[in-house]
Amino acid sequence: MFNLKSNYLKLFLILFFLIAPWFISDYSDSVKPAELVQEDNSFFEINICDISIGEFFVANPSYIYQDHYFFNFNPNSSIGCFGKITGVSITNEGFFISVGANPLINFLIQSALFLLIFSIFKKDEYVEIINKPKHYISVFFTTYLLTFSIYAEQRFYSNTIFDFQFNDKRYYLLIFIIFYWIGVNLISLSLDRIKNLIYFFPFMFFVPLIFIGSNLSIYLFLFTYFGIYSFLNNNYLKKMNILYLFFSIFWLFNSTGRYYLEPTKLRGFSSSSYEFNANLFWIIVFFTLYNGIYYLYRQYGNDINLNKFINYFTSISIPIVIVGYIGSNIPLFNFFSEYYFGLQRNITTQSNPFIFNQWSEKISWRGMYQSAESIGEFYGLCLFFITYLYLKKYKISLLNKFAFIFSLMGLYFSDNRTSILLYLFFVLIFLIFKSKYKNILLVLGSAFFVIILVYLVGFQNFQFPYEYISTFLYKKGLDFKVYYETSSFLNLLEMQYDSNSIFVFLFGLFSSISFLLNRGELWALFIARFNPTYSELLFGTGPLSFGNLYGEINVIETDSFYLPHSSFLSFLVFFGTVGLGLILFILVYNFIQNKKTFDAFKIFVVIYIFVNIFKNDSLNYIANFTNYFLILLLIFNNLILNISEE
Amino acid sequence: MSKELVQKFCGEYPSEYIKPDIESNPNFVFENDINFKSVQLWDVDGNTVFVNSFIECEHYVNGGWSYLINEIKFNESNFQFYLGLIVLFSLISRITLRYFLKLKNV
Repeated sequence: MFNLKSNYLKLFLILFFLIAPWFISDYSDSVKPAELVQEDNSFFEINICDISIGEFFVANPSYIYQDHYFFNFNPNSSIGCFGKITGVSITNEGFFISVGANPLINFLIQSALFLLIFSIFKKDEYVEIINKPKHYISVFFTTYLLTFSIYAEQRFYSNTIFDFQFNDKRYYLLIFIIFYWIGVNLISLSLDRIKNLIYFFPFMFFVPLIFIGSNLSIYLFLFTYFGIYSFLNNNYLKKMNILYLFFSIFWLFNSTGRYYLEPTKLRGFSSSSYEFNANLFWIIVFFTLYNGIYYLYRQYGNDINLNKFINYFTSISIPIVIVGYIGSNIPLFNFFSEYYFGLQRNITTQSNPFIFNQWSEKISWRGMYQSAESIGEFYGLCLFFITYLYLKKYKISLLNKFAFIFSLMGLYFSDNRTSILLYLFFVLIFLIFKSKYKNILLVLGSAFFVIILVYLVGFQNFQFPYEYISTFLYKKGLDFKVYYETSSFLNLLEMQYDSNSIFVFLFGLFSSISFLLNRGELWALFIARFNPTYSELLFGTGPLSFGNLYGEINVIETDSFYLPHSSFLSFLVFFGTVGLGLILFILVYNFIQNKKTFDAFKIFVVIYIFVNIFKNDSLNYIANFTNYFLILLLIFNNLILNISEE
Repeated sequence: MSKELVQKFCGEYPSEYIKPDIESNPNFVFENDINFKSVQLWDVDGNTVFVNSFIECEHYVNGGWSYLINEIKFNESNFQFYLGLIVLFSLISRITLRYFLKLKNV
């Protein structure tokens, strides 16, 4: 996989990029780093941008591991302040030290390190022939589009890129040059390894590489390029693209609002604004994303080796758990991990992943990933894959065994009960149907499963009357609304409840499910916010854009920022009922077309993914979205089965 | 003081923003706004202050705390210009090297 012998220079450069940027300072001056004290930190207010963080750690090594020091990046700082302390604040929790991280420098350093590591991976034996004019056009448009994102999301970048003049074209030229440098190098390295590129998909869980202070992931460069190239060269998804074009026209004409939403943990895969330019950018990005993934799958999916894919997929769980644990205990490691792995959020500071709250409920632990539930899904899938290999009597390598242990730990830490339940269900079914004593095991297994189900859902939740849980969503939605405005969806529900239609019955079922899945309050909050017009209900407001949902209607203040907690609801906002219906229709149609090739394993994986995305925001994270999309493509088009029968 | 200057440092005005009468209230206390990202301001002497609400930020900017750190310490535009030159040089070197080495890949 690696070729280290001939890469000494690269290893040296990797070390250089890991260490050097944090030691840039004027060592000839008389300013020496002071200690942090509760009483007086005026030193850090006077000597802003004078002390590099490296210099600071050398002078105060105990801050590396003491857990009441919190280091944060301050993207809105000048290039000269890069890697230097830009401010200190003190709260009851401890000291918060902000370190300058200018996004223009971040683009270069973060991508340089990524490219160096990527370049160590073995190249394909043969160079893939590509259409050069189309390649150059694709590289140009990829760079242009991503540069346009800075213009389109001005409000976001005005808080992050220091002294960037948004009305001066020269500044965009600078961004264009930087992005071209990233794009051309990344694409060149990818084309050298294109036949194995699919195996790298799971790495996105480990290295999301979102540039600090930006709303862009390095993977967007890649998928945008392949999407544009595919569109120019093959246009495999012609019908879908035409349909998407019609939707896009509606979304763009409809983008008359102007709502801002801080992308927080969705950074790199979500629009920060709901307005024309930002919507245009994310519409094109989503278009190139699905075309790009489909292109890679169509061109190279036939050569995929399931064992190799599973090995790559599952082995990533090991460093994810380890890095998460180390990062949650060592502030220094936590700080630099955010930078070099390009995390949407810091690694959790919850240092003990085994912890329970005062009601003896497990507190979920997300480690280095931005969402505990979504990474729990990933661990569950790893367990699925390794168990499947074992049950099918494939050779289980030492790496597989370690991956199994770490995935098991990760799943427990994340406390994703749905994934635990589905995994147990999968194992039980396989054991029962492989056994000689099917009937006895079926009874015992069912009893065991029901006990676990009741335990995980909570016995008390099954004791509520149907009248209560079937109206829970609606009533809770009314609780969340403010007195002076009501969302159109809540209005619709009010009318339906007055007329007692069939819709009420169906919604009652949905409400009951939400209650048992512990999604009642979160989905009620969504209902209180969801304010589509009739046409928006049909076609949505555009992909990866929550600005409209969160900006249009006020709800009562909540203790935290809550996403819809269902990818279906997110897609309902993005694509409307027609779009969501079409996606489901395509999946069902493909299933019917290929149902003879569906074995139990494939069905389980599909059920697993769908149940999880039904109750979680997974598809709003780039790693989950791309990997699920790829896995579903492989399953629905019969590629995984071919390999599994090798 | 112009609205543009306030927006430059403090971000856009909140919707339905009403400016409080701070001058006539000697006991006025600036309350922290959790939705407002802390902003660092400088005066002409290089003194600095962190403001934690839009009201506070507007008040300070109007009071002359409207200098960028680069106006005092760094020349950001120069840094950006040199950064662009370095990246451009790297790109040209890459293209030239590939041309002379006759590398097949793009």
